[in-house]
Amino acid sequence: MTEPTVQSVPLETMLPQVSTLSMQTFCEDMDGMLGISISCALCQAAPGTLDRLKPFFPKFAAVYSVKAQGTLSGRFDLLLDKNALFLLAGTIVMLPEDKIKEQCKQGTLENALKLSDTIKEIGNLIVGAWDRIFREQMPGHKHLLQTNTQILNLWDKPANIFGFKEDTTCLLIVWEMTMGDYPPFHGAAVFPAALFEPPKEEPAPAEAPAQTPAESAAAPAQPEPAAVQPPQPSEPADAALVCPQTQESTDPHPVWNAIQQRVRSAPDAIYAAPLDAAVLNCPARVFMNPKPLWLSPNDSVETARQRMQQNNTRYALVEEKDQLVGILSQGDVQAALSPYLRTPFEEYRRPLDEASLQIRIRWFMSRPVHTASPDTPMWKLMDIMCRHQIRAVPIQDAGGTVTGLVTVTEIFQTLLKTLTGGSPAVQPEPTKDCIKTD
Amino acid sequence: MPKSLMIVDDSATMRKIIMRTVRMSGLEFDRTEEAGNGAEAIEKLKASPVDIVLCDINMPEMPGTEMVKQARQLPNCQNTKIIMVSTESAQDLINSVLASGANGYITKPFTPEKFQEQLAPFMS
Repeated sequence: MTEPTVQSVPLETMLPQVSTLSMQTFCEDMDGMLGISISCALCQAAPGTLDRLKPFFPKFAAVYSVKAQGTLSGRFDLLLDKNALFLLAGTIVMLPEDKIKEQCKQGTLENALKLSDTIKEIGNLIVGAWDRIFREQMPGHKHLLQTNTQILNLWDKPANIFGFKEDTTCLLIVWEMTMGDYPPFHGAAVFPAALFEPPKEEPAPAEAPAQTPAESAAAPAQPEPAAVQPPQPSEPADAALVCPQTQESTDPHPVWNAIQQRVRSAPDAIYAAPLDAAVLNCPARVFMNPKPLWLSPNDSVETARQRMQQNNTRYALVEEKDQLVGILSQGDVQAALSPYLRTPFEEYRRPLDEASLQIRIRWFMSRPVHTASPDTPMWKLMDIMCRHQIRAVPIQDAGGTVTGLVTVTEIFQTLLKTLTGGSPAVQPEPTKDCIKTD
Repeated sequence: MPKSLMIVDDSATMRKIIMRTVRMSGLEFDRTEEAGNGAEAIEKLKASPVDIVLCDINMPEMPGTEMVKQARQLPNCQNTKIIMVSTESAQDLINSVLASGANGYITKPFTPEKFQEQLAPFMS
């Protein structure tokens, strides 16, 4: 018989926080053991089907199957993308930096398979870290056991890999991790909705209670199509939900992606382009929002949501002891909330869904925060946003004071004003050398 | 005084990680050996004993606890210091491993400081 649990927050609400803490702990373990400094930021935590992971894992990946016992009972999977495999395994076996970078760019599945022993051991370390945190944070947790490691293309036969149908609803949590100046990589956790079903009692047929609408909606066998449909990519909720687009995919943001490609391929060329040079060299202090919204890490999701609405903003900076400690997007807030709090699913709402409103933002805000100086030119900000897959950069002066915030909105507004003749106060910088960026 | 070290773990990667972390701890050994399981470790110890063994517990063929017992039967390993390295942190297990003849226990994730703390007393 399953042990009763004492948690007051539903598992699916608790898991993004606990999992993120677990992944951060893995990063700290790697730092402690190997001197590899890795940062980990929550990128997405939302219900959806496996195809929502495609943009993050376009090529092959490692899938670590984990058997959970206790409060969370059953199988879930942890994923590391191609870059993660070559970066972590390459560093552990002490490959030269050039070789690691080359493998990140051109490494094949065959190359990764040659590192399979190391990749499997990385899984042991991840699961070990997760097990420790689950013991600390999740009442009733017993054990996590790594049961299998697969290194393969996820999208050939995903049902065979994950052991459930492709249209099964899962809680999908994705992290972006960075290590030194290597390209960022992604990790993910896939928790099938079946894991969150309450243990089934076996009452006498005549006394069996009728299934509530909420239970019916949560059951994976008959999912509510609207409830499990991921948001359409044409209008991503926020920066955190923006995924790296594969070249083959349909491009829903042609302008943004064109700018990304130009900045990625040749920022110097953009700087030198006479037509765009003036606006692209415009320093951040000219077009930044000088009065961004500030929140405390102890503020609740409910407070964050209300204050973002009141201030008509999609981003908030998080301050603790006069220090910038995180950044929060509207999408982060949406992802932290139980989906049943959203209007279309109101009828399925359970009392415990309300609990997600009380989650403190320190658990899911993005950190570390990438900042720039007030003199950073627009093209450099665009470069920072592209490289780190973010859409908002706080502006911090040399003394560490945050003087404003630049989001893609400010950049587009400035570009549009220039293109349409409504010239903003653009002052071209004379030379690139005099521009200080962090 | 020159010292020798053997790392026993069924994962070649973990052996590398342990070796690397030991080096980061500042401890120096004039000879290092590796073994992929307890049986292989016993064969190597019979041929050439070492001063310190770092040994995983969960290994195929011969688990670490059995290796400790067998090593203690070898005449040339009576003074060998055997430190177990494992993710398991249950106190009962640690007690039983120490009772079987191990000299110390390090839980994963380990750090250079942990190795320094556990191994330094045996280096003099």
